[in-house]
Amino acid sequence: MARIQFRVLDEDGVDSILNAAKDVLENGGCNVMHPAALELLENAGAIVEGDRAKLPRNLVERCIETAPKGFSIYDRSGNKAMDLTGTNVYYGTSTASPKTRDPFTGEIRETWISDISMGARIADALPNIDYVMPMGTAQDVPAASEEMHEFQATVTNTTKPIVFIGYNARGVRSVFDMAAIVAGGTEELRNRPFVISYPEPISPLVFPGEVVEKMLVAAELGMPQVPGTTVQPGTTSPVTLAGAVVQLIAEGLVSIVLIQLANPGAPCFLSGNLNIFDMNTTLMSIAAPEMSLGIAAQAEVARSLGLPTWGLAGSTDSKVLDAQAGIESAFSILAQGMAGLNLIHDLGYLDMAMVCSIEMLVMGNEVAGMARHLLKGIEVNDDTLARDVIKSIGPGGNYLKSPHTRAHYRNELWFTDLFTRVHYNRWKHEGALDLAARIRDKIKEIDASHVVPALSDEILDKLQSFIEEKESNMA
Amino acid sequence: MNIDQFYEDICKAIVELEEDKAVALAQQAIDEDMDILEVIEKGFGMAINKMGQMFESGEFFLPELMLGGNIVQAAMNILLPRLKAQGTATTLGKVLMATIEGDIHSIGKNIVATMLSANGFEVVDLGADVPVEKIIDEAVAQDVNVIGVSALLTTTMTGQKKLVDMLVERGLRDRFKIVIGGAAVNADWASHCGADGFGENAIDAVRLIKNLLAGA
Repeated sequence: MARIQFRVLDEDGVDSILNAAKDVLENGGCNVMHPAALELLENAGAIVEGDRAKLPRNLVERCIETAPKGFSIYDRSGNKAMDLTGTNVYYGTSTASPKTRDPFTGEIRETWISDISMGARIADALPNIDYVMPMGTAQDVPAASEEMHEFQATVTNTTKPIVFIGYNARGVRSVFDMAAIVAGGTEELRNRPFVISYPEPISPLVFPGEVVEKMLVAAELGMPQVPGTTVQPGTTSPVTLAGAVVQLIAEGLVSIVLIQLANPGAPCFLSGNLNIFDMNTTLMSIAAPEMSLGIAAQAEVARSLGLPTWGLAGSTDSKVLDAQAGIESAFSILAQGMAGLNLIHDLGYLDMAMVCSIEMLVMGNEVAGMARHLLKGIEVNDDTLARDVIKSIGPGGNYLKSPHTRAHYRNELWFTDLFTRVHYNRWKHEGALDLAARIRDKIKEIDASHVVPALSDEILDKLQSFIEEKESNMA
Repeated sequence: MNIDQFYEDICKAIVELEEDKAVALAQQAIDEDMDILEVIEKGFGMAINKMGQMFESGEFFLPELMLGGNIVQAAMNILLPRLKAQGTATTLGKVLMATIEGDIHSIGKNIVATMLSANGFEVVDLGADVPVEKIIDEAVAQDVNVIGVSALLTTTMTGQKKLVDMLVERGLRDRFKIVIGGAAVNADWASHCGADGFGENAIDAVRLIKNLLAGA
């Protein structure tokens, strides 16, 4: 639990936003383009007209009630990896962009399945990356079975938890089937889930049939999901951040209602994304300061209900690993870490989320380490106050040989092997490398040395046959 | 007793930073009348090399190195009197250390002094804010091999050049190796001063002095 935290809203602000969101759902409603879901809503008391569903306050509140207040996510081996409660902060990778920046050549090109394997393997080695999303949408596998290939590439290259976007309901089901193969059965997977589904409805307040179907499939399986619309203030939501957050919460609550009606108690987040539409360039920024501000406010409302939260940080609008990339990555990672968001994704985006970049991920890992160090705050007790140590060392002395120093320095001080802290001469002698060059070297080093524990041959065979069978059924 | 195992034990006690054990092993070497020079070279030498490797690989940072250095010194205090009594050379060389006049910053100089001691040098530490004349007089009186002068401030760095100039004036320049250090000091400044080298950090300084004396 982070000691250092910033708050955007006071209690009144949280209440006002929650009330406004419930009012929007009760008196404005949402479009749900899924007949069975509409029926589910209507039977539960919603007013349904055509695709439009108005959700009475008590229905929404009932569904908040049944949603679990936080839950744990495990790693591939079944060890507890993330406790998604309170202000626990976890950082994860970017995902789903059609393009990749090749970390060795610097070329921006189509994403290949090998990029997703490599992204997962590098992420596996980075200590501050807590979960992995397939880094890109592979363009060199059949579109109809993409998520299966991407999941296979990810799960064989990391033991960390995985968050994935299924491109359709069949894909979501397939990924959970494959996860069950890895976990040793559906029941084992449900008891120790290491996979989270990420369905993305559309702002404002539109729930396409395919997205709803994905939610219902995951709910029925009892699998955790983090639904996320993306609002862009002034275009797909009110331009005022308060209004944007109202809508984001309303949309998140619709997802919760659908999931809870489908399977009361199914684990889900109250989540959403807020990105900034640049009124000047008419394109979407993935790194504006108001993005972190709005997401932090959204999360405060979600946290007030005890529900897990979702963030978006470590991305840049820049096209290269330059100062802008560093600033934007660091700003959002720190701001959202201080906001206490549970699951912060998108470390590793370049070019307004159009490009996944392992270099950005490695940089984000370093920033996340710095942010985590700051979030720990300062521990004050008799030992850390060190009164006797100061007195015994005395004026003019030094603390280097003190047992107190040795006992604490590794925990109190933050260390880096990526940022330069060597003498100018050595830096020059070693090639005068800037951060981007050092990141490339580090990726090469990880690539050459990091070993991810292999899945058993039996599981690997089963995953491969599963994909082949599904593909032959599609043909 | 397996003597190689004994050296291994010394090395282990030191890199595990167990002072009592290291001191007890040194005492055992005295009590059992072992070849002290060999105990130092093999046992303690192994430990010093090992600590250097652990520093390079990131297992040891400065606090462990300093503590390890202290433990080596504590054990040496037991062993050296015996060597002296036998009339055997006991050090790699004698280094005079000082922070230059006008400058009271001493932490960098102290770290280098500790590292030098731990590596088998005899260190004469004159402290901080030491006038150039005094440095030279002491260097002559104590017959040191190396003079190491630290300066943090750009305003006091000029004292490093003054030291070399005065040594030249007095015809003493060739008698000593001169190394300099400090935050703003670099190779260009060292050569401008006419010094023999500079250390970019404590580990580098030890390496530098070893190389200078080996080449001498």
